[in-house]
Amino acid sequence: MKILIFENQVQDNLDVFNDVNFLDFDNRLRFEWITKSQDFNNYDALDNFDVVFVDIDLSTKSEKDGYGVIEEFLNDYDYDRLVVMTGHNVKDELASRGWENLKVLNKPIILDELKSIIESFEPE
Amino acid sequence: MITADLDYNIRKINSFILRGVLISLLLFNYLDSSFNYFQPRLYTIFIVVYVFGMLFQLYGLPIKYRGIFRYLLDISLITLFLYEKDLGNTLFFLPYILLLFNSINYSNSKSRTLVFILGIHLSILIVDGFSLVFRHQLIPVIFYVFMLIYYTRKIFNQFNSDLIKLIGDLFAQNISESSSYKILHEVKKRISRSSIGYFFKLDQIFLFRLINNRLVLIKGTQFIRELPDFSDEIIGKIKESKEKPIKGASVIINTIEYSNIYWQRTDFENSTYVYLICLKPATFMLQENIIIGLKPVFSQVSKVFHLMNSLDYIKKNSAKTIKEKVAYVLDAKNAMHFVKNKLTPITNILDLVDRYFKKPENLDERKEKYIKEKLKNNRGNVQIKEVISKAELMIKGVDNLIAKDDVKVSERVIIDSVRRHWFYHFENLDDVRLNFNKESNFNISFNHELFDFVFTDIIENISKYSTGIKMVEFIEDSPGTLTVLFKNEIKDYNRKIQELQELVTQYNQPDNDEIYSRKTHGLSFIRGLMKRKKIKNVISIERETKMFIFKITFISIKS
Repeated sequence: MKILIFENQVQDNLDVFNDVNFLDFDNRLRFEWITKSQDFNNYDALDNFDVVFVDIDLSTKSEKDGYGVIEEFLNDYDYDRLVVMTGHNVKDELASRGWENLKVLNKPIILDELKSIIESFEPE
Repeated sequence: MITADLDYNIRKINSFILRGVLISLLLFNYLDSSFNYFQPRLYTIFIVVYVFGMLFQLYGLPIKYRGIFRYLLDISLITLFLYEKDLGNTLFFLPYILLLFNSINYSNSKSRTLVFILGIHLSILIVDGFSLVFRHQLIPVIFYVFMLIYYTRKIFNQFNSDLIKLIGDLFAQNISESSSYKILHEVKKRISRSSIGYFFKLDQIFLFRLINNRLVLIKGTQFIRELPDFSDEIIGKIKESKEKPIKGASVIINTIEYSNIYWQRTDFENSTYVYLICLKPATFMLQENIIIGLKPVFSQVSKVFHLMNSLDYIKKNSAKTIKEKVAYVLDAKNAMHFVKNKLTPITNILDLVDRYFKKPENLDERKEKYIKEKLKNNRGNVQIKEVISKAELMIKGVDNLIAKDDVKVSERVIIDSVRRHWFYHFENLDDVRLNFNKESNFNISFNHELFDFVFTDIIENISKYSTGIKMVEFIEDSPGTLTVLFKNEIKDYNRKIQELQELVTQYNQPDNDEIYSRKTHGLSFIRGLMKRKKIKNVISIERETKMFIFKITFISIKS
């Protein structure tokens, strides 16, 4: 499985993703970390990713925040295998944007929750 | 009865008495005089017609025509009674003087004043047979001068009063920096359009405030690009001046030279406002007198700008406080976000521990070893320290919420503040009682915002729980102190006394902040606020009256 992660605080989250990979997916997961929205431009290969995790607060140097990234993926590329990763309460904001169906992974990240979300995107 | 009704009724009685006196005086003149032009019965007819005319105007005429109709009746009756009599006898002038006394009843406008004066003069000329004897004209001329002065003053007062009302309206409607310039423009426009404008050719008005021997521009009828340097001499003269305007030397503003200028000072609440009044060179009569006459208007404009400035100061302070609070909230939000992010490695370690000991089905030897290695190398303790240091920002709490600046206030300010909160909740002030006799030199250091929290909290609680007697008492416990007692009768006393007694003990215990704040948020919050300002406050229960009493003691500071 190939997973794209938009997250600026990679160090704080690297372990939990690596651990879930080793312990629950036998290292079958491949991660690609992006800290700034403008660093991702490989839109042609977007369909190669099974799931994209998007943190709402990206780096201060990022052109777009997480909402901007999601907007682009949903509207411009019709890509909806997205998971919102956040430390905020974003339920109302997502609903106001019509994205209430998106999955949300709350921080701090719990190993089992991460596992279950990734599993839900696993190809059959 | 409202003031307008009272005034109208007084004028009616006045008018009635004067008509009675007028008829008596004319009859006395008739009887006293050796010569009466008309036959005796005609004089009777004149009086009968006059009386009927008066009754007709009272019941048959619209109110707006009554004044002029009465005046025509008066002047006609006087003219007929005095016709061809010797005006050298001053007694014959008395009826005209009576009209003068009564003039206030129908002299509200300039046009009527003119009719009034012309009517009297015409009457005198008719009585005198248009002889234009100098001696006979002397009294009407004096009469003219007297009337002119009287009405000039009246016009001035009316003008000032209209202008002051207008300034008030402009202030209420345009209480913003962008439109405040309209006030001086409107003053200039109204003066120029009024009868005062015939003598007083106003060019520009500039308003300054005198601060530290410098004139600071507040507003002008013209935008000043570069402020001229005003000499120390003129500033010295302004400082010494009291009521009268000062004639100034010419001044150049925006390359235009104003040679006919006056400086007028007005004071309001320890602030000195100075008007630079630039007149057109053609203005040469009564300039100083007109400026003195207009001083109430200038004073009012100064007050308006002073209040605008005060409001602006309050707004800026409020904005500053809000900004600080917003900054705190944003900081707290960021801190919370940071904490949540930093907690991920820690929760991950706990998850690994959990898996290691619970040993789920898929945990083979290889994975166990992986977890062991991870746990050996974990830096959870360091991360927890980072989390705590960031979270301390939120623990600072109320320090960031309350403005730091205290002000020195008298006891009246505290009483007004309590009254305001009390009135908001109970819509009466009967239960706010002042039981002290304090000198006016009582001053305390007071934080309005902080005590808004304190008084709101206490009075809101009284409002919430009160069913019986409730009151606020201001007393003087000892010299230099002001004690405020918030009293509230305890509902269901026997059942609640134990619980309340415990609350009192905890509140009055000095060294239990951290524990107390976790037990009772509202009370601990206001106790914390007052503790920071070192203001003594205790709660007690008065068993005899079953009163719950919140006592705050303010101590006067040395001024």
